[in-house]
Amino acid sequence: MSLYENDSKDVINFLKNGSAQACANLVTRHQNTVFRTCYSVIRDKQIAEEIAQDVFLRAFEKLHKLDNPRLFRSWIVRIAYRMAIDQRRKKKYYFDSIDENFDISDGNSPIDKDISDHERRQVIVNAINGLGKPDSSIFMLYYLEDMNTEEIATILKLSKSNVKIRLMRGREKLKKKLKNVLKQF
Amino acid sequence: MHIDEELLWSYLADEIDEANGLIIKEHLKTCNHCSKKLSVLENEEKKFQNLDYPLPSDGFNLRTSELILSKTKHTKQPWGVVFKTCLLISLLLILAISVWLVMNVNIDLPTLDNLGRIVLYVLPLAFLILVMKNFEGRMVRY
Repeated sequence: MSLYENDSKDVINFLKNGSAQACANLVTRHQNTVFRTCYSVIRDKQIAEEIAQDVFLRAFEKLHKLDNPRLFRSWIVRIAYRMAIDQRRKKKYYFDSIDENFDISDGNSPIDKDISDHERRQVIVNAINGLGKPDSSIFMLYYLEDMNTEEIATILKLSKSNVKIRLMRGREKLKKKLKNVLKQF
Repeated sequence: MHIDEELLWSYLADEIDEANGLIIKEHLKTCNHCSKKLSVLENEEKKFQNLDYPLPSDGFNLRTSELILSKTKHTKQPWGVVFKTCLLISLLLILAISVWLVMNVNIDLPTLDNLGRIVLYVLPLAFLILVMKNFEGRMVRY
């Protein structure tokens, strides 16, 4: 069964009889995508997790309004993106200060010594988040959550060509940063 | 003449129309430069797909599911319960009126045998149960 069919089955089961298993299936299946969507905007793991939880709560409250259960994934990711953006707007000063603390390498100073896994991970996260909104979300949804440009365009209310252009731009920026800093690419 | 990177990427990502896809496929059969470029792109795509990006903490799905279930228990839609209650009251009223009519009004009714009684009293009940079931089914619209 495809992801869409599984989602459809679980949404119907939950609406029909409040099935706990159906709820657990939907949360487990989409927790990574929802969390990462929030994180790509918020850039604070703890706050992103709180928002992700609120996203699921709101989604299940409004589940009866979902016209097509097969599109549950795009629907919940759209909710996640909007809620994360709203939260960021409300606490603009706090989140802007988080961004300032990010060490966004300009790719000109290669690291000669070996770096730890944690530092490596941080460099990658910084590089992706450093693409800015909505490019970091587009990149994350395409490469890490395996969504296509059409789905991403629907979620972010952009045109498909706009998504493609931003994706290409993001690839080039990221390649440059990661090539010099991590000697990757 | 070579294929530009954006077009090559669209071809790789299967985000290209069929006609252009065929043209590119034919070109790649004879152009080493573009074939190598495609190979490099494929490599880069794999690396991007394997980048390390944060995931939610352990137990996130359990905590979230429990929260959802506890909240949805308390906010069960009341109108479904109200409708069922109204149907039940209607059924009781119909039965009560039928019994009153039979006992108090001189209607020239033929004497009912057991089968007749079953039809007279059970049929409305069956009808109302079917209506309720149909209603429950329509609550899930898909």
